Amino acid sequence: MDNLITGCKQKNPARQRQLFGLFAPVMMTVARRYAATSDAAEDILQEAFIKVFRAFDQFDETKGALEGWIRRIVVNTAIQHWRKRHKNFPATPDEFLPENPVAAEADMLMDAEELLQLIADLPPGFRMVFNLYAIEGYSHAEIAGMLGIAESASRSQLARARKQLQAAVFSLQKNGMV
Amino acid sequence: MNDFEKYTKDTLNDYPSPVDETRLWGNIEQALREDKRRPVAFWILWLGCGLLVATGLAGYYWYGKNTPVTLTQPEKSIIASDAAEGGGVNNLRTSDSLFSLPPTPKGKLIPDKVENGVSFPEINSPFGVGGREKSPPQALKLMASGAGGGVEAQAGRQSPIPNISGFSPSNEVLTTILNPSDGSEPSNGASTGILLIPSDGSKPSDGALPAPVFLPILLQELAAANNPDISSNTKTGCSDWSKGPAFKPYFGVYGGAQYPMKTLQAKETEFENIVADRQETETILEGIAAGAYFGVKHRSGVFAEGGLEYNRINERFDRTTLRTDTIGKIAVIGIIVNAPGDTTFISDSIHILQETRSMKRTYNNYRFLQVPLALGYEWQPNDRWSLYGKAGVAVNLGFQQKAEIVNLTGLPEKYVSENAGPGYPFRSKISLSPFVNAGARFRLTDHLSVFGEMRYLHQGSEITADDYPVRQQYKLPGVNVGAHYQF
Repeated sequence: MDNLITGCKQKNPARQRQLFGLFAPVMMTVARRYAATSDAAEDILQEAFIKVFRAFDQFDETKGALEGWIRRIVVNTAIQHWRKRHKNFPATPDEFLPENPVAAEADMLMDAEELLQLIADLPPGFRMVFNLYAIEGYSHAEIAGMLGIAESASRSQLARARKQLQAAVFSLQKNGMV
Repeated sequence: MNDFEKYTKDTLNDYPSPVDETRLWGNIEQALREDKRRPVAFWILWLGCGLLVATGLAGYYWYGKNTPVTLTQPEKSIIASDAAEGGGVNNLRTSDSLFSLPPTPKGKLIPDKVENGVSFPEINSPFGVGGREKSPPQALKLMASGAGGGVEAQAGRQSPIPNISGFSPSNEVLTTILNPSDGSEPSNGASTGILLIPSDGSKPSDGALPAPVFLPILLQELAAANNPDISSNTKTGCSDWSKGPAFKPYFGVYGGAQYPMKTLQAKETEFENIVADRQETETILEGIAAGAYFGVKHRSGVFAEGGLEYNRINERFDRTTLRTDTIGKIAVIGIIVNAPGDTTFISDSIHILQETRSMKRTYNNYRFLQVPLALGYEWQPNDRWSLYGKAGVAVNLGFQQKAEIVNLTGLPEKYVSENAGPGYPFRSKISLSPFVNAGARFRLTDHLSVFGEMRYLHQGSEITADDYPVRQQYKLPGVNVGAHYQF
């Protein structure tokens, strides 16, 4: 791994290609979580890796793992893509939404592709907030700063996303699909 | 995080999705190759600027040593010595009035007559404009009458100075005055330096001063040499602009106000309302610039310079958001019974909507650090005033935004470029902004002057990020004042 990092810092094309091959599949999953389609996910992945190689000099292995650093760049790229397309999305007051409506007892037999499809079916704003909060672990205040929205809007988007996911999971269970 | 979310995170965390690696890597590789080309252009630009400065400095050190006409103190002392022996050049101390010599008529080397006892016999110059290739004139005679008798000097091209009554400088002395101080031979003939000066007042190629400028200086220097009480700058307090080495370095500082003219465009239709809202409420609070420069100026008036400039724009705008919320529902249920007795149930709901208008006030503070590089020309109609113009590019080195967003119903939020998170709408990158300046300079002393100028700078690229849906760019007309020091 050290050789790989050194080679990428020296902008060695062979090492860059090697790094891309190593991390592209996992990062594609990250991109797919934020994108509605595979094409959009590929755009995010491609742009993110261009940023990775351009900014590789700034990567400091003493501050964290390479995978985490690349993952953050992929997420940031996805956010930028989202901001380009969805500047405003409706905010709903929290009091009209259930606090935590997703069923904890949701069947855990769903595989990764089914989960990705569920997330992809969410409206863009729901998907973005759900990913940032539930998967990446950002707080609502941080999400509000990233997306340029109010904190209350982030909360309501998450609640709605959970509600929609719950309905989708129940629907799948009801149809015997999971 | 509930169990579903934890399960989702764990399942997807290391899940590898299929990727068309070959195709995607091809695109990435192409983008990275283009990156490598950009620095080449960047270095070419810097190399060009470096060459410009190096050429200026080289010219200064090389040509600066070959001053065609230098009236230095040692030579004056020789003349003073000669004059003391002969006496009678006292009337030359009134030569300060010679600075008001009338323009030299075409075809004549010097004016017909000058007051205060210094008279010049009419000599028809064979040169005319640019006629130095023709045969040289017979002689130039300078004559001054004084208490101890007249002073008369004549210089011929190929003959020694023949006759000076009451003042007998040797041929060597006078030719020393007229020749370069280092003893080198001017290209157009040493001992006839005066005669080689075009009568139309234009500057000869070898750097000799035109007659209307040179002769007063010569006579004033003679007078000053004869009487040290007479300053060589008795009239204006400043020596001639073109005196001294061919290339002169200089530096200066300036500051001023500017009026930022913003271009704000939505890249996508859905953002046009936001842009319109912002433009309607925007107020420019402040636009300032301050900087310093260093350059080299040629005797011809052409100069090249580079500097460092700090530029700041403060603005304020309000953004009003109209939000519609559903605050309740009214269910309407009806039963319709028709004639045959069929019953139909209908139901509908009426949404109760509430519109909320909220306003955010944003204070933006944009700061730029740039390196202006310029070429220009300075026109000097007299010893005090000059007009100049210059044009060039400002290389933007850095950009910082500070913002305070005040939601009138909440606490202010502060943003700084360095601390901004993902999706930050601005970006700092090196860009080139063309600019043009025009101004006037007033000399306080031989070296120090003050100036005022108008400037127009057109930012070469937007300050918003490439992927941000709104494009923001500035045109910056402004006014600067400053101080200029020429070595």
